Order: sequence, then C-alpha cells, then structure tokens
Amino acid sequence: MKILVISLLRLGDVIMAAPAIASLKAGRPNARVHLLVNSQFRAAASMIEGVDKVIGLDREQLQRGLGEADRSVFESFDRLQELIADLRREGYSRVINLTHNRFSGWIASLIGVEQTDGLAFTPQGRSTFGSAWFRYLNAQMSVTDSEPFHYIDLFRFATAGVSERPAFHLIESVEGQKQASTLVERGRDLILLQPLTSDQKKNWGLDRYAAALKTLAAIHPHVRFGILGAPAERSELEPFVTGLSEAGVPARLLVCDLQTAFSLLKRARLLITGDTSIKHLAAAAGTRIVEISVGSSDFRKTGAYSPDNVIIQSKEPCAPCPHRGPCSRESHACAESLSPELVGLAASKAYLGHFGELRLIAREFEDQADLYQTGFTESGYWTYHSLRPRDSERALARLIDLASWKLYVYRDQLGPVGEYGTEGVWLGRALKSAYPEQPAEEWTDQASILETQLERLESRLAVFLVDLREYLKRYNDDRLMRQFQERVRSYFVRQAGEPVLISYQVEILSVLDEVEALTGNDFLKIRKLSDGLMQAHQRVEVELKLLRSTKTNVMEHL
Amino acid sequence: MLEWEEGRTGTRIPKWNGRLLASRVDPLREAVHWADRAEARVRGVRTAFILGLGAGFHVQELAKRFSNLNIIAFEPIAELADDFNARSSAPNVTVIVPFKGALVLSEPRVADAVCASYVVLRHAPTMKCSEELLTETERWLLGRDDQSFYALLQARRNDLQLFSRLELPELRNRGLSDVRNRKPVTIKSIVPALRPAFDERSQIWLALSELVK
Repeated sequence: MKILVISLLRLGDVIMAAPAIASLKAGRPNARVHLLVNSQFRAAASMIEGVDKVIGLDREQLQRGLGEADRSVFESFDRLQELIADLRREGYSRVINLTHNRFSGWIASLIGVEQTDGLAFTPQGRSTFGSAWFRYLNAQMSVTDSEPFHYIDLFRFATAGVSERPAFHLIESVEGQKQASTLVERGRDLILLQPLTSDQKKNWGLDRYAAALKTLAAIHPHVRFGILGAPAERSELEPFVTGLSEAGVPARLLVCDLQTAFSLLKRARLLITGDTSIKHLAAAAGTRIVEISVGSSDFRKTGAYSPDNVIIQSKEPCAPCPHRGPCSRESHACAESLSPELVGLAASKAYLGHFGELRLIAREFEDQADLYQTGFTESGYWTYHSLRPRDSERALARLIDLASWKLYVYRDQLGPVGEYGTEGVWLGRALKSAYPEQPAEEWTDQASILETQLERLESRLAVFLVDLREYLKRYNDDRLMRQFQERVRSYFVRQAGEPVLISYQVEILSVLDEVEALTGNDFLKIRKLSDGLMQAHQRVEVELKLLRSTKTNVMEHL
Repeated sequence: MLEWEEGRTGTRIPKWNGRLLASRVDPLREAVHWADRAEARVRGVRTAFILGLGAGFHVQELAKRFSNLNIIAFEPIAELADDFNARSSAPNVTVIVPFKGALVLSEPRVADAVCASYVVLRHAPTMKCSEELLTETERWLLGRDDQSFYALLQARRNDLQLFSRLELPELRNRGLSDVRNRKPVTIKSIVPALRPAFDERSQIWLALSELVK
C-alpha cells in the first residue's frame, strides 16, 4: 500500500505531521508513505520517521511563474501538471491532505485517488472531507473562539484512527549531532532561547527577552544560554547577544540549520520561544518549553505538544489575531502587556519543574497574562489547564466537549456503557490533578450548571428536529425553509460565550453556511440540515452521559 | 561582421560588429555565473529556450549541469551557430536560427517543446547583437499579449479546448479583459475565460489561482 500525505503550509505544520505519520506507519508497517511538502522544507520532512520519500513542490517558482512577465504564461501550469502526472505514476491507494487550504484541496483531487482524506473538491468544485475528523477540523479552524483538539491530535485521529498517546519523535542526524557538539560543550545546564519568528506579530521583542534573561541569569548563575537563530537572522541577533554578554549574561549565538537546532535542543533543559517550528522541534526532543503566545499564536490548536510545558498567553482581547495582515492595534499591545519579570520568573520555575510555585506566579501576574500547563489525558490527547484555580469550569467544559467528540466520532457511544465510566474516570483524575485545591461542592455546582445547559440544548435540538420533519412535508416552500434556518441560526448565535456550547455553535453555524451556499435542490438542503442537527443531538446525549459519569468520578476522588 | 579574438585565458571570443559576445577576462567563469542564476528556474522543466548563443559557453555549462534538459538556443548569426555545432558534442542542445514572427512556433522542435514545461532565458551580451529578432522570438514564446497567447494556445492543441475553441475576438469577450486593455495576459485574465465544465486542466488553473489570492 502506498500513501501520500500532503503538508503544504509552513515549517511548523510539516513537523506537526510527524505523529500522524508515526501512527499511520504503526498501523500499517508495510505501507510506503510519501510526503509532499513545499520544497524549502524538504530537510525538515526528512527528519520525520516513517517517511519513505519526500517530494518537493516548488511553490515559489509557481508563484513567480504566475506573476512575472518575463516567464511564459504557461510555465506554472506546465510545472504543476507535470508534478501531478509524476504523483499519479506513483500509484497511491490513499491520499491524506493535512493542509486544509484550497490549493492543496485541488492537488488532492487532481491526483484522483478514490480514498482521499482531508479537503478535496468534486469536479463541480464542491468540497469533500473524507472523514468526520476533517469535517470537524474544517468547522473549528476558522473560528477564533473554538477550543478544539490540538491539530496534531486531529491529524493523528483523522489519519490513523487510533487514540493512544502518540510518539512524537524526529530523526537526529549525525551531522546535526556533530555540529551541536562543536557549538556547546556538555556538562553545564543549557537554556535555549529563540527570540525571532518569521511572523513579526509573534515576536515578543528583543529588549524584553534580554530583560527576562537577566532575571533568569541572576536566579540561576550556573546556567549558560544559547540564542538560536537562522542564518538570515544573524545580523539582528549579534548585537542582542553582545548586549547580553556585556550585561553579564553568559550567552552564545547559535546560528544553525534545523538538524543542528534539533540536536542542540536535545542537550538543553529548557527552551523559551514564541516560534512555532522550534517549539515543535523541542517537543519532539523532549525539552521543556516556555511558550510566549502573542500575536497570531493560537496555543489551543498548535501549542507545545509535550507534557509539562508552560504557556504564557497575553490577555489582550484581540489575541490570537488572524495570521494574515499586520497588527490591527496602534502598538503591539499583546507583547507589551507581558512583563520581562513575569517571563523570567515563570521560566525559572519551569526550568526547575516547580509547578506549584508557578500557580503563585499565575495569581500574582493574573492582570497581565494567563499561564497554562500542558499535558495529555489518559484518553490519549493533548490538553492544557490554567494555572489559576478559578478557570476550572472552563476546563471541565472543554474536556467534556473533546471527550464527547472522540466518543461520538469513533461511534463508541454505541458500545457498552462502561466506555463512559472509563472516560469519566480519566477525566475526573485529569481535573483533580489540574485543580487539586478545588473543593467538592464547587465541582458539583459547576457540573450541575453545565448539565442544565446541555439538557436545555438537548431539548431545543429535539424541537428543531421535529419542526424539520414538518418542513419536509412542504419542502418546496422556500420561505418557510429560510425562516427555519434563521430560527436555528439566531438560537446558536445567542449561545456565544457559553464554554460548553461553543463547539455546538461552531458546528451548526458551519452546517447552516453550507446549506445556504447550496443552490437549488431543497431536498438536499433539508437533508444536510437534518444530518447536522441529528449529529449535534446525538453528541449532546453522549456529552450528558459523560458529564454525569465524570461528576461521579470527580466526587469519588475527593 | 564576425571576428574572433583571443581572451586572457587563451579562449577564442567572438566579436560581432566590434562588440564582444563573452568576457575577455574569463568567459568560462562568466558562463558559470550565468548558469548559477539560471539553475533555480531550469530545475524541474523539460526545455530551456535560450535567447542568444554567442560563443555558447553558457549553453555548454547549462547542458553539463542538466543532462536531461532539452536546450534550444536561438542564434540569428548563422556563423556562430555553425561554429558551435562544429565544437559542441552535447546531445541535448539544438541551435535554431529564428524565424520572424509567430512562425517560430511552427518550427517542429519548438512546437513540440512548448507543449510541455519550458523556461525562456536571456543571454544579454548576445541578445544585444540581434535584439529585435530575439525580443520578437521571446514574445511568441511567453504568450503574454493577445496575439502570442492565442498562437501558443494553437500550438498547444489541448489547451485550446479549454477555451471552447474560441476565436480571439470571442476570447476577449469571454473575460480576457486585460487583453482588451492591453495589459499582459495573466492567470487573472485566464481563469474567468475558462470553459464552465471542470476538467483536469481547468482544475490545474483553479489550483494555481489560489496562489495569487
């Protein structure tokens, strides 16, 4: 069996494909897996275990061919057509598109394999997703408020359909090891910092990083610091490192390629960064991470994917902002709101692994930022919890929501009732460990509030489904159908801000958008809407059973 | 008038009407630099059309680096073409004395080559000797104005079907508004003019259109 995985976005996205490919390969050891990436990321793709062949797509050449008048009007067309022909000759039996943009969707369709998972298009231009997980990804990714599964977990679930906690490994090259040994000697504790990112909005600021490192160096005088950067960043980083040395911080500039950076990370005890790619490398290297989440960084979807990292998230309401376009504020408010003192102290506690003390810091600086600790549930997916106790209600709602999705998509709800018990035990333990000081009566109150909200939603969905059956009898009455859609939409818009209802809101509004985009065929519209409402109704039933089971288990642990 | 001169490294350098067609100091190094710049563009395509052969050092350098690349060099000065053919043994290089106007696309080797991926590369020192003719050749190969675009479509038979075998005036009416306004033909003018039916070639254009949004 030959499988093509498509990952045509940025470097961080290529690295995020690694656990999905590992799961895929684990399930089908004889399968040959090819990975299609943008040409400039071929080196990164070759670090992923289980990839038998890396294929490059020269996006830059395609764009230049389209935009430059001294190139043939057909240059990019021919290049792409020949690439598609080469891919077809490989004879893939499955294509998995992890990219989720329209360009990659067309590529996936053009390869023309029957089993295509992820975004693709029919010859009429309609989007298809191939599995419930990719449909979920499509609905969740465009919404800034949503708190879905981490993309790595989504890719993994959608690709290999397994729920065990994944192995996130990358291949360390001999050359990388050699380079790393010439750059840093073993023995003393090393903290790495990657202060620059390719997206200006994600940069916290060199001056602030310098001040934070001074705090850190004062607390841990035995530690040495390595400042990571790409060759193109050298001129900006040299004065930064000189400034640190002059201030008595033992720092060294480490300009290197990705392989060397990975080997350096394996030797370090901590990484501080706002950069996505290096953060994922560190997670695969097993190095603890302090993630500075500013600008368009959305840690809920792409956060540091390993346990016991610390995420510092600005409290500015505009964060996370969209990837495209410059900062909409007069100044970079989300970066300015995080003080070097907070980052320095949090990094110090993360370095020592003192999470109890991090809770105190989270409280002390709660006007500036939210601090989160990352982890994995026993059920096998990444999660995070706030280091402030009063966020437990949101955590409960989020965990219940994610677990119900997993049970629903895997159709586990059709299995024995025991499934809920196991999942409930896991969730109960996760919540208890995240919020050890929360008293029993507060858990009961919070669970009861959520239960009431979900029961209300369940009955509302049941009413909508009954009404829809009535409309089915008069399906050609366009006016009635529009009124019904409007009722459903306004109900879900009103639910905005309720943590336990966000994913339902996202799901139903996405179905309504799809229905409204359909032209003609009213029967098809009704069917789509009915499927969407039915799915939400079934999932709310799953969620209620799970909530009740978790409530019992949290109580038992107290 | 063509003359030859010995360069500092002992290499013969052609001179056309008093203008040197390669570096007198080190023509081979100059050719290496030219090929370095061309390399990224050439990678992954079937044919490289080179406008200007001159002494041919740059053509030989490119042929050496890409043995599977079909190289077609246009050289209006027949003596230079003859001299190169006598010296060169590269099997993947063809030298053509260009025709005037769109006829260049009817030359069988050119007509075949434009049906698959190709790039058009300039060799500036040689282009200066026959600028008008080589610029005209470039125009028909690039297809960035209405006449050359349509001529290329005719040469690439399969692509013509994408546009429902429309004649040029109809093509204009179907959406090539940029052509009417004498702007270069780009993907932004091509996509609206595609036939409504989705076939593979239309989908490739639609995929590419996502890269310019």
